[in-house]
Amino acid sequence: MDERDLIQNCRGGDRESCRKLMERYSDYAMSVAFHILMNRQDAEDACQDAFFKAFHHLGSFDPERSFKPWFSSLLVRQCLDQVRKRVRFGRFLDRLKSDPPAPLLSSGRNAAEDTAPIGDLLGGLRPKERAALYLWSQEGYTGEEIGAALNCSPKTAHVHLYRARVKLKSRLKESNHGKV
Amino acid sequence: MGKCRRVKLLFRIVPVVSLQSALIRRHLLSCSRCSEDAADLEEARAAILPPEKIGPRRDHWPAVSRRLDQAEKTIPGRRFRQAWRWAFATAGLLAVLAVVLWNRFPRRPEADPFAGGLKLKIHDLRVYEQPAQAFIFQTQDADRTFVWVEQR
Repeated sequence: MDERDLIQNCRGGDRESCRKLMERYSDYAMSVAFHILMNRQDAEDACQDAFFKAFHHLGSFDPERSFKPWFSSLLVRQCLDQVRKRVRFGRFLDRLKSDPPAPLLSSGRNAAEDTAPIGDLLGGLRPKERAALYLWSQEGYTGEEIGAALNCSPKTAHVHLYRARVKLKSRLKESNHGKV
Repeated sequence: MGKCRRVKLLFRIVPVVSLQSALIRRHLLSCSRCSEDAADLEEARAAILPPEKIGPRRDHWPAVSRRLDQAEKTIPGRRFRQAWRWAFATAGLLAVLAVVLWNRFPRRPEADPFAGGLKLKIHDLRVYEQPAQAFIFQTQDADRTFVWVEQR
């Protein structure tokens, strides 16, 4: 079924169409969320929230436009909200006990297992920089589109992207030196 | 900069893929800025994991469906509350403000006709059982007042 038809059916309250639409974007959503949050559990939560919000507010979506950018901006904002919550909760834990806050993983896994593959390269980047880098490199987004997703001006989006590229370059250099 | 834009425009216009690649390759060889951009893009793509490497993901549909059900049930009441929340809050605030002001400033006593210095007031005047008219003259002397009564 065509995506436009699916969305039309979803707006009409057809749950099966919602499920199919979700299936189409699940891998993409997980990839975006995982690279921004760098934590599988948080990424799963962000995906679930983003899908719920997308279906709940599908009435405000313009069916003449593409679904992916609309959903992407929703997802990215959800991830950034999650980061803010995580920071707040970290501060709360800091106050609660003098020890540094524990990594926030609600599952029994350890942090290294959840973040290891990308932790080395993207770990030094801020969440907004990671989001900008992902949207630029994987989705071919322009500064304007990244700005729309991050809820900031195109200039600010360019700054995030520039910083991300510089940091990534230096990380790569460091890792290459390490190998030599 | 202008040359880069022209190449990007050409890239969009040219319909044949092989021609597009040749165009890009040739431009990258001559433009350091674009070749740097391309290298950055390659590096960024290498740093991003493909979905299959992220691992199996959880099926979110049952949870999302349940939340949608819950939201549908609560929508009418919630919408009503959201729409009227500010109205109720403003009305409540105004009511509290009115009560505070009412208690803070004592009500003015009823106007006393004698308060302005008037010494005499005639309500009903008759002369030989006939209605009459009175004229009151207040002199400069505070203790002396003349009353002139006339039959109508």
